[in-house]
Amino acid sequence: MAVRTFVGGIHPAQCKYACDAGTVTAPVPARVTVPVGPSWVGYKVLAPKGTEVKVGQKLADNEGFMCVPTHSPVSGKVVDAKPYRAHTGLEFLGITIESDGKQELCEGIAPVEDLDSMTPEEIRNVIREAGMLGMGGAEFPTHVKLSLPQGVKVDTVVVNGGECEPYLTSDHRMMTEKADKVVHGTYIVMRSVGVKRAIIGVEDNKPDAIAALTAAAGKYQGIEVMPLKSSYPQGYEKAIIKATLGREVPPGALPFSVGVVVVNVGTAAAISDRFTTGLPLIKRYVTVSGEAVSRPATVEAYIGTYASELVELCGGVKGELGKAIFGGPMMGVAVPSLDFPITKGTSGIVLLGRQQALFWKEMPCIRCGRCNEVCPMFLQPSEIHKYALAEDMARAEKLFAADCMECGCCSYVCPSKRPLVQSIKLAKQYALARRKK
Amino acid sequence: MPWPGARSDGVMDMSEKGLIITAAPHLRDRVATPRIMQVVFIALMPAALCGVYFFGPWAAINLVVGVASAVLWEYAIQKIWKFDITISDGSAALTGLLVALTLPPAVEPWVTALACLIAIGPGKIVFGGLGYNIFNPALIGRTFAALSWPSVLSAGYVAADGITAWKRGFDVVASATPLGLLKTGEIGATSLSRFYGPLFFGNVGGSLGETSAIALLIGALFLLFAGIITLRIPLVYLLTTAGLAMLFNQDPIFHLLSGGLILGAFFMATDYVTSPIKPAGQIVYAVGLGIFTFMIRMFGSYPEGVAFSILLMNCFVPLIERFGAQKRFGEVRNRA
Repeated sequence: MAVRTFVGGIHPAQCKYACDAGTVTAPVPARVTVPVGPSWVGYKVLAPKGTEVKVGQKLADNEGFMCVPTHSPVSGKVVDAKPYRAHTGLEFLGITIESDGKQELCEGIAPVEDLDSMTPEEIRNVIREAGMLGMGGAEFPTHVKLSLPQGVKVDTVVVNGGECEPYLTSDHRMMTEKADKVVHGTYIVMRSVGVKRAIIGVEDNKPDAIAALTAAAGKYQGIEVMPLKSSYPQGYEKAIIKATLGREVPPGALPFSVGVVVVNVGTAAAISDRFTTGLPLIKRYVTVSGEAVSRPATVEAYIGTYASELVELCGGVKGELGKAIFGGPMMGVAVPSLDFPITKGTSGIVLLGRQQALFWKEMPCIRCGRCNEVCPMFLQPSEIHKYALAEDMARAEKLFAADCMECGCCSYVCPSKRPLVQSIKLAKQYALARRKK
Repeated sequence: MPWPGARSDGVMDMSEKGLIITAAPHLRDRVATPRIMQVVFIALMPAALCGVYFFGPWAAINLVVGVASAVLWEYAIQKIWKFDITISDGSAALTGLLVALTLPPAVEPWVTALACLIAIGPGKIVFGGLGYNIFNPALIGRTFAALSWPSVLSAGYVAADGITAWKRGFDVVASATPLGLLKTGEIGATSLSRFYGPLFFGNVGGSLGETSAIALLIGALFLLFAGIITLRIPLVYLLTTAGLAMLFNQDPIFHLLSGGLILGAFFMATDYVTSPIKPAGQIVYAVGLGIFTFMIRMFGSYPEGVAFSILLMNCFVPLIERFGAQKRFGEVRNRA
């Protein structure tokens, strides 16, 4: 049987240097800056400047449905709680804590004993209180994903192990080393939405992860591990649903419209951690890799650790650093320096050498059609690009610019090195803004 | 305007010393437009070498004149009008090669050079350069020459004698093309199968690079495996022509192998710039090519119709592109 996949996509060089290296556990950092919320507007700071905090203590919270609390990853003293310029260039509220190194646990941190007697609402509330955000990079609140609108029935949970970005290995390491946790987290997610079937989709370039997960999944009913073709963007939500179940999520709709809930493997493992140890989301796996890193590795790091510390942990910069990326090289954000803290969604820090980071001169479009072939959303990137450059956003929208999921396959394959996805993102923003009006 | 920080290899360094910041994606595929042009150029080499072998020294001279003059014309025009010099993208050299390959092997070289001027100037740069031209530039050049100096061109069709042609040197023996013979009615009454061998290997009268089917197919295979072209346009084009030939009681194999059909189908009709992008549009385009080619051969006053049909269908590309609903991820399947 052919390995399952979606339609379109690309096969960039994988460069998964950190794949065989064991995971490095980062030491407790002397200073962390914990970003608050997905959007910090309306957050109430519970630990103002000068407060002594302990591990797992709530630092800030917001009553809003789309909000999750922030917890302290270290024990120590809050030295600052003010807006800071995050790696994306946007302003965030950051709570800076100087650690005392004792790592004392906050009172009330306790495992959940009676999972089987909990209702889905109670499970979702525990997940919210633990500050769970989508750890694949999108940082979408997990409890929102699991709260289905009235009358919507889902039948399957898809756990996303399609770590398709080059260089990144954090999900791979997670699945191999903590397969039990991933499967246990999957079970909790199944409970929280009341379904009996889950599929853990893993790209077939990670056979050890597939083996570990298959062994772990045997202990549960209804959890299946499914190998998928290694192809970018296999880990895109709509792509992995198409690959695992053959269902296509309609334009503009969420996965529950085809009866599916998707969570990342990292999120599943973090949920399991909360139920078994009581700790909220304060740590994550981060891949530090790229040609300009001395010893590429996956690091288990505290949220809020500065990227520069993680790079030092991996032997520092090798050669001339050209570009530093938060996230993977296909969708990640290039940052002006390494002096930024990692967030709950930072799956990797990729450092590219100067030669590699230089970019090619744009040439005219020769209408080769490669972008149309690879677009997983079946768009015509070259056409949308043309209208976007002419600032004819109405025409761009008519070509469904808003369907773009920004994977960047079109720009990757373009032989004329045109900034296709970059201009389509702009057209998409115009289209979304117009819809809001 | 040259780009700030542009280097000769087309790579740019816009950062001052700090980290480079761009929007994602941060990786790009190695395939680049100049590379594609080089690959097509290389894929045409078997046909060019066959032409040189069969037609003698004039063919070699015309090939060199074609490539060199096309590059030179592009450089001169862009220099005079103060445009960016784009000869390094390789498209001018490829156009020059195609002009030479589609002209008669022993045509006087000034015709090749002038055809290249028309191909590069009015055929390409006037429209805005690479990527903006409506018509296949090489065929604009070739057709210009064919319409302007028909007798000079017909004198350029020489016998494909191989070693003998080289021994004769610059003296040439005129020869008719099989399609010309078919048009004048000198052949066709009996079986044409005696032409199959010569047409397949190339020892037959015709344009410089169109006679050897085997050499062209080797190049076409190379393009297919390099992922530069797909079979869609060439296959539909060839099948349409063959099908029409059968319908009109002609010899389909003779029609497939003769004239510029294989060269046109694999190397000119597949030109990215002047063919439709959408798969469905490509099929419509290719069917149109087949119909025009066969109709001109059968009922037109010219023996060969490949160049005209490609130019004609080039006109229809914007129209073809307008049709066909766009499929959208998630739309059709869930409605059904």
